[in-house]
Amino acid sequence: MKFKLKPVLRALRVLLFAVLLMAALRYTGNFLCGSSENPLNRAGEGLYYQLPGTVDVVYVGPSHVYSSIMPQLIFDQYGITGYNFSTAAQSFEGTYWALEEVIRLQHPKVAVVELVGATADPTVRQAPIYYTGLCRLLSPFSPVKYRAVNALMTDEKNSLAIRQSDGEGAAAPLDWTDFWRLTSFHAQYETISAQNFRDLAGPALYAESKGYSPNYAVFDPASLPQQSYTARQLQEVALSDWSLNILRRMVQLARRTNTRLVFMVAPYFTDAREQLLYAQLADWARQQGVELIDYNKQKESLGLNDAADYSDMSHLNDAGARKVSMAMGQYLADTGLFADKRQNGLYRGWQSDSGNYDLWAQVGALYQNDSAADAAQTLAALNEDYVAVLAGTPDTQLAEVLQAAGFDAQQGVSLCAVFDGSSWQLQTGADRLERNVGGRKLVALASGEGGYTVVDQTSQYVERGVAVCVYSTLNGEQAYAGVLSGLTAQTK
Amino acid sequence: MLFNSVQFLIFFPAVTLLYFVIPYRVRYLWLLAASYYFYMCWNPRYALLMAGSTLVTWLSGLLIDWAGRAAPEGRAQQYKKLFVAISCVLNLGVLFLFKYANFAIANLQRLLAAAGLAVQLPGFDVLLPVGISFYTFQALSYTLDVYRGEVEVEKNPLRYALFVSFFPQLVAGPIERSKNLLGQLYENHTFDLQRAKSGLLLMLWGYFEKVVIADRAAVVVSEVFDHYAAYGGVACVLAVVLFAVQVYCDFAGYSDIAVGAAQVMGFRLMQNFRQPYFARSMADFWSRWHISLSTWLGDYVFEPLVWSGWTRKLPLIGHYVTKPPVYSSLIITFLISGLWHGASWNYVLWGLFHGVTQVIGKMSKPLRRRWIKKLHIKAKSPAWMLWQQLLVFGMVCISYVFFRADTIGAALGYFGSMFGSFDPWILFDGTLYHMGLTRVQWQVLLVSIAILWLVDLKRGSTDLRGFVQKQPAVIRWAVYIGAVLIVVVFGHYGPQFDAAKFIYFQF
Repeated sequence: MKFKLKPVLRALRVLLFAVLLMAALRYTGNFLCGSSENPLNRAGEGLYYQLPGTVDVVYVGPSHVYSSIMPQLIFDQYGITGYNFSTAAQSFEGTYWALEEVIRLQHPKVAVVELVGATADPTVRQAPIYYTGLCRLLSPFSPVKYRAVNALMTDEKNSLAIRQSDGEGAAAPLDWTDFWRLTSFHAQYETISAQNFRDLAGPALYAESKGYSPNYAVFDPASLPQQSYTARQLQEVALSDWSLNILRRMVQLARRTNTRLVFMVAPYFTDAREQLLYAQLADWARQQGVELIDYNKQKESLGLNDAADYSDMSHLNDAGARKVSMAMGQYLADTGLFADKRQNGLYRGWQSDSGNYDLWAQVGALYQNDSAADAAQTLAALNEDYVAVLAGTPDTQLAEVLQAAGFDAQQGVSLCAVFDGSSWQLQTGADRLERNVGGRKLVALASGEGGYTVVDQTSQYVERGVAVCVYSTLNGEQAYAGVLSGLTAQTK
Repeated sequence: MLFNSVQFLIFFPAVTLLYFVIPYRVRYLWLLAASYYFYMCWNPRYALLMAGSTLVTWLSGLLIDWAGRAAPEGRAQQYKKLFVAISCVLNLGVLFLFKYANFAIANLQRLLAAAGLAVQLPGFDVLLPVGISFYTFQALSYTLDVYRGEVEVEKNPLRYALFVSFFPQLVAGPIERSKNLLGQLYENHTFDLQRAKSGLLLMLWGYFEKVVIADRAAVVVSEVFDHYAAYGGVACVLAVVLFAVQVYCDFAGYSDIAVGAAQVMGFRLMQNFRQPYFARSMADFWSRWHISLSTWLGDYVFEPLVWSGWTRKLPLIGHYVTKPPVYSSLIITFLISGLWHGASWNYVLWGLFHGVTQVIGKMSKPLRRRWIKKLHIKAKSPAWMLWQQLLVFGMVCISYVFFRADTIGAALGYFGSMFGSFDPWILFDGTLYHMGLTRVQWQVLLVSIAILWLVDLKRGSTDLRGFVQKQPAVIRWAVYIGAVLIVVVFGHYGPQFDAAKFIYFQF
């Protein structure tokens, strides 16, 4: 039979076209989600860029993972490579799929699963809206993604949970468009900024952190809400069948793939109900022969300080994360499973990231100001050459503050964005935030709305080496608290 | 399943791939199974209705053919007419039951109440089966074509069933004719990359029309039509114009996806739209708009009415009639067209409006010609043609108020708002951005409409798809990838939007 070249060439051309189309869709999705997708949900994306078999330990779970575990620190101290693969408010069902994915990608020796998801009410915190973030993180070329989406869309209980949203998520049923970046954020062309262009490159931004997201806020435990339960309520506390089913699947998966599974409970302010559930989890894990490390029970030995090591009632801050990470690193080193890779030439990338990571330790200064005059004084005292201003509602007083502090509106001041109550409208010059213009950049925040909304949207604008001067015309206290709870400040 | 759904994006390639892989002899069976699966995704039980309509019309074809060959001497025509009548009564009866029964009952109740008889008649609590108006007409056309001898009877029931249920055009047309589609079901289609690319490009264009333009325009249209009392004249006019764009893009978009999908598999469906808003008369408009329906009504309603000379049989005035009843038949045809679109008096009025304007157009044609000559107007000049197009577009827009409004009262209220005030400043003072679309969304809409207009302008004289396919690979691929990105990025779908179904699914 005569070999025909033409059909082969034609098939190759079709294939090339398909590849180009997929790449265009992927990068367009990356581009558009830059200003919308929670950057914390993209922190784990770098795992896809690690060579298979190079990551010794993966940590999966919700925000308790990316706020508590510092894989780069563990590498620095113990030579053990690790990566966080976690998304905000991740459903426990989602954690199972995340576990399947990381095992598929890396075949790590150890997989650490954070268990806060197992204690949540299945009809509320497990609503599928809480794992669209994970599904968007999963690669479109991964079969796990499609199985996860299919499980979500066909599981009757999940369908019920969709309609029982706890008020934070959408009331409408989820749609297939919720699980891909491009279709989720395709309308974000209205808010294109330099952030979008930066994110086009993919996870380079987050590669150094290995999925860790530092938080420098400090939480006052005196503001903890009081939660009380009756004796009867506590008697009825039990792990849900739903959680147990997922736990069993995790154990079976780990055994099937010869992965050492470790359950972890990151330290936070637990109530009596949660403590009972963790005790039940510990019993269950023991029966299954799986190790469970409850750091809530080791607060003293870890040296955790309630008044200094937490960013809010549920998460550690950077100081607290260091302590937990050192403990985790020691535990992993004691297993004897890992070779020290700190001098291994194949891990040069990790070694150079280690050098950069050290600089993160310098905390950006945070100043609260109660009046315009106060803010002007602070700004002047900081003696910076350049001001990038993110303003809340249009604020004429802000201009007076800057003028009083010696900043000329034409020189050294860049009004970057204005929050109009519902979204950020970027102004020209916003891209200057992205460049080091010689010396540290100063960001002055003035929020007319709740601080958390401001910070949630502006944390991506906060560059390294930042001193933050907070001044709000409407609610300084709230704005300051919001900045504290959400600000990420890094130095270069 | 909707064309703009992930299910269809999986269904269509899977069906097409298997179509070209399996032996030619069983391909029609595969397509039949796929078509019924496609329909049953809407409602499995209503597939039985479609199957029933298929069986009745197929049998009627066989019986008509038998009557022509073997009926007793002199009775062939009688038998043929009987079988046609049975087929029409059964099919239209089912259509009437699901679509018009409640409308008829409600009006009968009103009539009785007006006559002093307050009677509560029972209604029918039934969902309108998707596409029933389309496949009923398509199936009936086969019966009528066999009766007229225009098409050979189809002896294979399954192949005939595929003709009725062919999924690309099943739920919203084009309403295919047996003489066009039935024969194609016997063709052995081989995969042709050029043809497939052309079909996919047409599908992409259809998606652009639907998800980028129609669904976006629908936001403003819904806002204004639902709250017309709060809006002034300019807003109401704007909304009607946008509705004209919406209904065109929605319907033409669907048709383009249908035609393109069929083309990928090697089938040639009829063109359903031909740049309708470039029409220069109402008659011209109807030769360009929903061509499959207008030609169906023309062939099976209008022409028989005209040639039957039915007006000569009317009591009292019949013997005064000397000419074929063209005008009255036209009115009746358009009344039927209005009713076909929906069981509501506003649709009837819409149909009547088009019928009357067509009659006026025909009656006034000699007069208009005289005056054009007298005034030395160059009939082929761009300015005159533009004037005609704008006039026709204006009249079509007026009819759309009846089409879009829920009731006649709402339509009249809308006209009241439209002519009640003149407020052009709303176009500049930011009011537009409170009608459901942001500034950027408006910009996207207007640019998209401009692209639509340009493409339609060229489409009449140029084979645009052929032009694209002749370009070097770099340009072609840039066009294809760009088009996909435009639809995916600017499409009006997803969590932030309400994905609107195709308008014509309700018919």
